[in-house]
Amino acid sequence: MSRFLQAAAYGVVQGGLLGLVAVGFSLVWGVMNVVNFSHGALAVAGAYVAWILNVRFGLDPFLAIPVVAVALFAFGYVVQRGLINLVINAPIFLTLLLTFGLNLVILNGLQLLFKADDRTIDTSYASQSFAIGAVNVPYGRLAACFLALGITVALALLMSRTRLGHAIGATGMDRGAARLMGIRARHIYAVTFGIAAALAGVAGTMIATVGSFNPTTTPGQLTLDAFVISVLGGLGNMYGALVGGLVLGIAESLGGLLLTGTWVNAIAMAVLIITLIIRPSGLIGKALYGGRVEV
Amino acid sequence: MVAMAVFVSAACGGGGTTSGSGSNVTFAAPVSQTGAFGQAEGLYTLQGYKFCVQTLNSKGGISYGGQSHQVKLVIEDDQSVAATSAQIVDQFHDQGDKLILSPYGSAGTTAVAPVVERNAQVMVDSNGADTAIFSHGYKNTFAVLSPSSSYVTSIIDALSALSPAPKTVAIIAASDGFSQHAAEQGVTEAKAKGMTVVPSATAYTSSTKVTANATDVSSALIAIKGTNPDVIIISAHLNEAVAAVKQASELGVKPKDGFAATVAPPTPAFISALGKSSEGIFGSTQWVPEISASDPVFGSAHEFLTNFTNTYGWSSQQYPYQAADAAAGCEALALAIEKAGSVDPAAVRTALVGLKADTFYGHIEFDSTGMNTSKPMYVIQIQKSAFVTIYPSNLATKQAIWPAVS
Amino acid sequence: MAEILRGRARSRQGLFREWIRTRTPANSWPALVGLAVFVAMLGLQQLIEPGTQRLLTSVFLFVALAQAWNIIGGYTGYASFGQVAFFGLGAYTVAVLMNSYHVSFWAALPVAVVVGVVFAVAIGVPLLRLRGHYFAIATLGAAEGAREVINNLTSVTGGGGGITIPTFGTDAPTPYFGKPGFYLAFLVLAAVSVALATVLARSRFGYSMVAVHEDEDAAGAIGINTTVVKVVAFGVSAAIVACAGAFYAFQQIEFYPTDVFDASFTVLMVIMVVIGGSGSVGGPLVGAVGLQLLSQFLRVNLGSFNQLIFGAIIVLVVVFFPQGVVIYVRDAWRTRHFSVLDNVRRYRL
Repeated sequence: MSRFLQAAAYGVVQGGLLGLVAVGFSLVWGVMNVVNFSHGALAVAGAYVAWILNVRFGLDPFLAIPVVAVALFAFGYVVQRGLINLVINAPIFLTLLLTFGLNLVILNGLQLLFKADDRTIDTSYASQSFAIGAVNVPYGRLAACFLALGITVALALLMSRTRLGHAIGATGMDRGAARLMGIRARHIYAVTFGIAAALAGVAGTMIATVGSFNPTTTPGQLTLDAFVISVLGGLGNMYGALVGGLVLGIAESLGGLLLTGTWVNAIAMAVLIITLIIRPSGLIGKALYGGRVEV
Repeated sequence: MVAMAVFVSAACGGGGTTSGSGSNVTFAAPVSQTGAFGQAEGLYTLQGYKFCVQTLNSKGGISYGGQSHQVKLVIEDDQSVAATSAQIVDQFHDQGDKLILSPYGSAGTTAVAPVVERNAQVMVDSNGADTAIFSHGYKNTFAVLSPSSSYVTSIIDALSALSPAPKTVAIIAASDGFSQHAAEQGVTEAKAKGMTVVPSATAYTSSTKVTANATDVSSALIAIKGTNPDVIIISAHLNEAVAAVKQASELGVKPKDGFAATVAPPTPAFISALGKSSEGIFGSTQWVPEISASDPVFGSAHEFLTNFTNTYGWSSQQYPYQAADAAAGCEALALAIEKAGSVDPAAVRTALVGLKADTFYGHIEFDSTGMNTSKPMYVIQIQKSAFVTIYPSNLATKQAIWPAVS
Repeated sequence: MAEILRGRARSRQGLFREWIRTRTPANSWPALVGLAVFVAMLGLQQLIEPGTQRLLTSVFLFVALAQAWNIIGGYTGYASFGQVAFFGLGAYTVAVLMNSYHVSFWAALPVAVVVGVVFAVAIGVPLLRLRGHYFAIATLGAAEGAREVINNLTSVTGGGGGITIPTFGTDAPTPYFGKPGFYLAFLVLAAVSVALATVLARSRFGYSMVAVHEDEDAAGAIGINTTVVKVVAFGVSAAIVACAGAFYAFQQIEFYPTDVFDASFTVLMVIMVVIGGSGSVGGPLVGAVGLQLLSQFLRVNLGSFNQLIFGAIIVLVVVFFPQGVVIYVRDAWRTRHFSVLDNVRRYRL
């Protein structure tokens, strides 16, 4: 029983972190219909920014978050304005292809700059935990989980309460109509991608704080996680990523307890597939965003 | 072709002494410059090959047939993909390059071995330790490094020599062949040393088996939690080992005496990935500079370390042992050519079969399957971010910190 | 299946006569060009070294894989991100049969194809009800799941420890083909998949696939059994991929599950089809040949920078030819309008 509770508790905090990884990806996909293959690479780029700040200036990763967010926002804005906007009218697989190329450029660039060694941002507290009975809850992942919650709520408020949010939402629903209303779609798209890149960077910083990262295997893993979680949670709802992340985190954690070996990976995929068959628009997604992949 | 040119020039030059320089000898290697190993293990392997070739050439190259021959290293990037390594070795064959040095890792070496066999090339394997490579009766592949079977057993032996020796161990193993194989041998050795393996002797195939390259191994740790092992041994590569140490702390899984892992701890990347948490962790390694071994090319093991780390800007406290493996593989090939007196792959193969060489890397001698079983594995402990040899005890420069966790 | 291909039942002889009668230069040129290229490739084999043959073998492999993906992803519009599952299953079927049961390669090959098709139908029936990216992600999941099953069935597959096909000495159930043999095998595989794609694209079934792609509800309304069309397209695609996996396994001799279930195979199939131009036969062909040769060229010549430059080239190609290279050339030829800048303007925001 204590093992079950431990697995469940760990699954929840891990799920929050996964949600943080996916939230920016889900936003870009939902608004612009772009599957951003370079999401994981952006996260790792953010992790390097925080890592440099930590190693050079001893800055705590949580305090580094604003710097990471600003740096990645700027990068994301420029990438969208200068590149992705050029092909935004092409079918979704073209933008996928573009971001695939971008992904190769970013992660090979990072490799050449920093080598492929695994890095971590070393703090005195992130890997420590407090115990409730026989259940240990790690501080680092718990903080990341709260951060994910906070960011998700803030994003939802941004989308529902601010002019910028309304502009982003309107452009996502009908770009033509939005432009007629005087919304500068080029700018709005760039801001959206900038926000997503900033969120990716923050997620990367958290990954680096509670675990480790490298420029070779981490980006692909994070992109894949974000892809699965976004679909699982559903698009068009700012809470989708968080819900998807929590479900995946808990399913993997409990699955690992009940199943031996690496069967848990197969089971996680089975859960995903069954969810999709029963509820094709994801757990809390909006059906509008469901079927619009075209080749 | 090369052999023929050599033969002709030797015949014309005459004389039995080394009296001039002959044509170049080519060593060809698929190396990983991009992809998962690109700027890590693949790079270290490449540095080892380059350092070996440079040193050989500065010492006059390889002498045979009465002449000295400079060595030329031909490399090509395999993007860390095994099938590409195999394809590259086939293309080397077209170019007449018959003397092959292995790519980094078991997967690449596994894919290359049958190609080498079919083309009648000859390969010295410096960084592929999976015993499966040597179970198919291949006659043209020779490994200078100790096989996968001794990675965990050496750790068990080192631990049982400590006082008080641990009584219970837990073994986490990744799902790849190399890690599973090492764990299997480790369990047998642990039982022989009177240790109890928790949660069960076969756990490494079930509840404590983790996906290769996973960054989340919490399920294995939760399976161990509550069984209170004295030591947790991680038979896996870097990602899993780093995750296991970090997540154990998160989950309150505290082995009484400490952690050990196979290939991860003796790499600079492990220390950089774990920071202070890497203190006190044991790891098994192919080579340590304390061994009393030397050869005319590299000098003693210590001199090898000093020269190599100076050349490539490594610290002598933290250096990639993969480079030593690579240099030793390259040296073994050079020694075999001298012994054969030719670069003909069949003759070099015959020379490798009978090779008995003492080098900076230790004794190199291949058994009938091509493995260098005579060389032992060594165990290090990370102390103050430096590799400290602690086993075998006659090589130990410092006492092991034990128990390794406070 | 044959029924669907023909549309309605006709005698075989009648069909052939009609086929001959309807040959014109305009509709015969693909077959003639294809035949000429095939013969040229056979000739080329005589001129190049065995190792270079192996390099071209990988080009042929990707031609077949890209054509296969195009059938389900390009024509039918169901972007499968799990095609590598069929590749891995084909590879493992052959390896297990040859290794454990000493079955000859030629007997194991059809079994591998059947395993691939059965798996495609089994997952296709429930998953092809999903649309758009939900289908993409579900197939991705299915492939990951298939890999884990192979990984965990250690007693049958050797699990993570890998598997070896016996090819040396008397152990070998089928003599190894060698580099020339595999060149021929993969060339034929590529040719067959291109021919199959061409025939499918021009058949009634091909129009059904396109109809499903354009508007599935409307296709159903005009009497197309969309489920059958989708499942058959998925199955045909899986058959080609499984067949490729089987040959690949035999060529590699030794491999691990991570090698043959590597998701980058799927990604490359998609990338090649899209960069060439999806929903055409020429697109995947040009995409596969172009990208594979480019990647190899950069790999050999640029050392550690090769993947960076590869990525940058992909970005540039996408920006300048967003509709795919082949479709750009075709449209530009038809309209006599070659300006690349105008092309960029059409898709920008």
